Amino acid sequence: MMRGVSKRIGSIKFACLSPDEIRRMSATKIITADTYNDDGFPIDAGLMDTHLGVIEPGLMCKTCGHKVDECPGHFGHIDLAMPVIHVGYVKEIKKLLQATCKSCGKLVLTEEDVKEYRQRMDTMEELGSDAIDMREFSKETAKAAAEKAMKEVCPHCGVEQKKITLDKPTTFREDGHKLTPKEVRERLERIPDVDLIPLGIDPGACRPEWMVLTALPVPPVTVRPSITLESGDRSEDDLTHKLVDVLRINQRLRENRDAGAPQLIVEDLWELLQYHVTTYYDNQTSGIPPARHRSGRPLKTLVQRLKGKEGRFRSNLSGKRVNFSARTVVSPDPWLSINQVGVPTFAARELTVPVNVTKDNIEVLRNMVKRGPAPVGLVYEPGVNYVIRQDSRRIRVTERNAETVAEGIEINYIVERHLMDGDIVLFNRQPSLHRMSMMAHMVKVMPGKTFRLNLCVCPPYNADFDGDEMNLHVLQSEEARAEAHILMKVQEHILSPRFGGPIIGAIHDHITGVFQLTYHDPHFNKAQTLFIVSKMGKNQLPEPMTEKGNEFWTGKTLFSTILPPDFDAQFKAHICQKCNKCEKENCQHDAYVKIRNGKLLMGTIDDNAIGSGDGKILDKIARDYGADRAREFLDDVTKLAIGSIMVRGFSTGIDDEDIPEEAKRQIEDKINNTFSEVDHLVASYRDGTLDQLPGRSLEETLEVEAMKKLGDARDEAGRIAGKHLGIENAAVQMAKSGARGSMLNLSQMAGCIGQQAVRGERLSRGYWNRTLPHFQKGDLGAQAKGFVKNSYKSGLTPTEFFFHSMGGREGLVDTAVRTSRSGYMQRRLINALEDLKLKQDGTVRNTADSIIQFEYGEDGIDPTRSVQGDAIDLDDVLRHVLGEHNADLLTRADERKIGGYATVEKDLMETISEEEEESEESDFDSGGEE
Amino acid sequence: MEESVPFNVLSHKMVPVHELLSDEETDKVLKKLKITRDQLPKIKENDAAIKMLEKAMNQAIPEKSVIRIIRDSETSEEAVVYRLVIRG
Repeated sequence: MMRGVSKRIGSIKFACLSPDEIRRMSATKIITADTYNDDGFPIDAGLMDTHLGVIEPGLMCKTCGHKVDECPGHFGHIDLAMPVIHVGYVKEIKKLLQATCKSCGKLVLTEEDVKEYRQRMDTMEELGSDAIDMREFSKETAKAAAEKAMKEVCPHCGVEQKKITLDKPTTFREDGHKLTPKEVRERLERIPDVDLIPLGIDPGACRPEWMVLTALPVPPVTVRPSITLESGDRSEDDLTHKLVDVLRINQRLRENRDAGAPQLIVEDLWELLQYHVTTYYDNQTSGIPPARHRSGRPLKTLVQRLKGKEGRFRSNLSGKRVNFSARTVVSPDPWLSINQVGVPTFAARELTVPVNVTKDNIEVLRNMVKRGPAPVGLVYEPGVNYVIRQDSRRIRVTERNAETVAEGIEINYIVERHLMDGDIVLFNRQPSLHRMSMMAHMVKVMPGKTFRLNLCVCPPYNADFDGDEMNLHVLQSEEARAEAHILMKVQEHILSPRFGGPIIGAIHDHITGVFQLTYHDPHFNKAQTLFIVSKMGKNQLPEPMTEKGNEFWTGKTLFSTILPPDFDAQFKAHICQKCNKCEKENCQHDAYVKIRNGKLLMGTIDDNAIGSGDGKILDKIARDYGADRAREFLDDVTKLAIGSIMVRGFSTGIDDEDIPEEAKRQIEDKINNTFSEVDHLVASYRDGTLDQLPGRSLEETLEVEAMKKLGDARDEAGRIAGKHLGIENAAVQMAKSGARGSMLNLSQMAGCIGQQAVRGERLSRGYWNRTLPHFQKGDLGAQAKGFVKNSYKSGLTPTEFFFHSMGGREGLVDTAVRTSRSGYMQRRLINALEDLKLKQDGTVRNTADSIIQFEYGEDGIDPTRSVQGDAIDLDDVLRHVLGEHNADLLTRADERKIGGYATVEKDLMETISEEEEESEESDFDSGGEE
Repeated sequence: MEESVPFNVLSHKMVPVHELLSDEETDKVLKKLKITRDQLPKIKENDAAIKMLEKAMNQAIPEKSVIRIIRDSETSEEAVVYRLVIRG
């Protein structure tokens, strides 16, 4: 490898090919439309001429003398009997014809005007206009000239101009008379170089007459290889087919023209040639039928090869397939650190890391090579697949030659050894929507066939284990590994740049686990405590407490062992009831969390403490103690939670939604009451006594009132049901601690599902004036318009089930539409922003070094390091400065903040995200394959 | 036609403060940012704010002038940006 040798691309210039250049770069002139002779060898001067490169093994290229894979291929050319227009340039040609004089070819603008336009272009250039601005401006110039040409005579020669129109795709007309490509070409030839500059054409790079083709370049055969089918038949590439057509018609046109055939026949053939050349470039030109294969499939010609998602750019240049990567199903493993990834042995033996042989590692590597490509043994040991010598020859290590290759290892060889524990790799799940979609993990080789990951890293990847697959890439250079270590390791991404909080954190059972550990501070005996602590790999129990001579440990003490010793924090837990007046330290619900000197004094640890997205403790540790400590904390929390949840076990089932008969009756009564209230509303609407709401029609008023009543009924049903579902209930524990589900979900299971809606309105469509045929026409009552009175537990009636499906379907359609639309928006946004970067001086600039933002984000704050978007955590600073006991000062600070504008905004955002979550996690979620 | 609109956009509360920089000030700003004029963001000569500013100052604002815009910002209290006047 040629390390350190690099060349910098200063600029790239695109230009037209002149006929002269086409002929000069051509290896041979193509005359015959035939490809192969009877023996199967390429015909000279045919489309597969060996001057154009070779695609068959054994043949030699007549231009460069190389064989297959060595010869890059060479262009040929076809001399066209008559000129034809290049479809790609019709717009330019039209612009040029309209803007210039038909007889003298000069721009139809006065000398002074031209001068001014050129001057304007110079100032634009000076003021940093980009190519797009310049093109816009030259378009304007051309338009001005075209308009002038319509009104006045040419200022240079005084000839009156005629109207030029374009008959799509390639026919130009002057006052209705056809202009042949030959005439067009002659006109373009007359345009002087100086007049091209204001039209945005560099005469050095492109003369306009080159836009009318007289010679057609023929791409190398390597670009359009033919394939030999199993039957021995040859199948040609689409481009070759198209070139055959061009050649045939070209030949006939030449013959007819030379033989002096009637003008009509020549013109027909000329047009046919134009058609073939047009479709050779772009087979989706509007206005002409696409050229088809014999089977009826449209041919894939040049433009089709490049364009779109499957085109050369998006699928082969921006996105490439890579080596040293693996993909398989993922599954969870709480015993891994968040920084680790479990790699199956099978994959580890294929994925390799190149290691340079030095005098220090030669013996180690020699041993590895000796093991060969597939070492056996219970313990995984890395072997070697390839050895690369100094002369960059690759030697494949096999079981047979392993010994000999191992002996032959010398310094400066490169050994491609198998993946082993501690290697750094990139791990990714599509769609890669943010930078946390691709993070660096440390390898742990394990048995099995899946990639294993810690559950805390599910949120950033948005992964679950219902069959999700993920990709893994092995870094190949020392630089890449160093960079990944510093920038890409999972621990460096605990705090998200999206909202300045932790995105990696405990989920589901981990939250339930610590909740059970800390809620109302349960006591554990020595056996239980040992069980929990042993999971964490600690070898020291905390100080026990004693009661009546018995040793015991409390959950809060156990949790305190994983906190940094000087850690302070206070916040409200997720279980907070949001009482009107917060009792703080005296909270009845154990919802006020207070930590002093690394001791959890009070409060319950739940989603708001360690959860992904809201974890306050996690946030503070990551911010104040660094990524290493945060990783350690997370790993400990995972294991502590697992230990704690296993002490008692945790399970939920349908009987968690059991409520007493009495409660069911109450709910039934409540709903029936509401139904009659709605009926009253309908009645008052009918007889006109309903009070109209301001800004609403009578119908709307009824709908709003009814929706409100029915919504209240559902909430009430939920409340009644909730009264009978205590905190000892597993489902309630999950909802309250923020582990999974919400009280709304529960009330829908136990109480009543409630009103179904489509587009935010009660269901109304279906049959004429009713939703289903067995309702009265015009029935506006609750049940006729999609109120589901049953709960998921009690079961739905057929009508209710149908209504519920209507509501569910809307959710599905919405998510489908949303993902596709936001995907496209994301693509556009990324394309627009991809070249921006933050410079050393705090400005944001693009690759042209123009300023986009004078100060990054206007405040220069990295949102990752911010505190929920603020530059500093004022509360925390105040507490530090004022000390614990200046309570009233702190309260005042709290109040001031609530009045502030930023807090209101944040609250708004919080409710929005909560709502979103609920709609997302609707009943139709959790479908396996997504 | 444009002139007939009597409304002064600059006095609207959503429109940030626009100021024309003197040559010295411009040089100072460019020097501070270590950039040349062409690297500044642009504003068109026929931008409503520029036209009103011209009217208010009773002088034409030529191309290549630099405008300072002081905007309320969600992240910092206020954000100062500069724009280069170009022909629109």
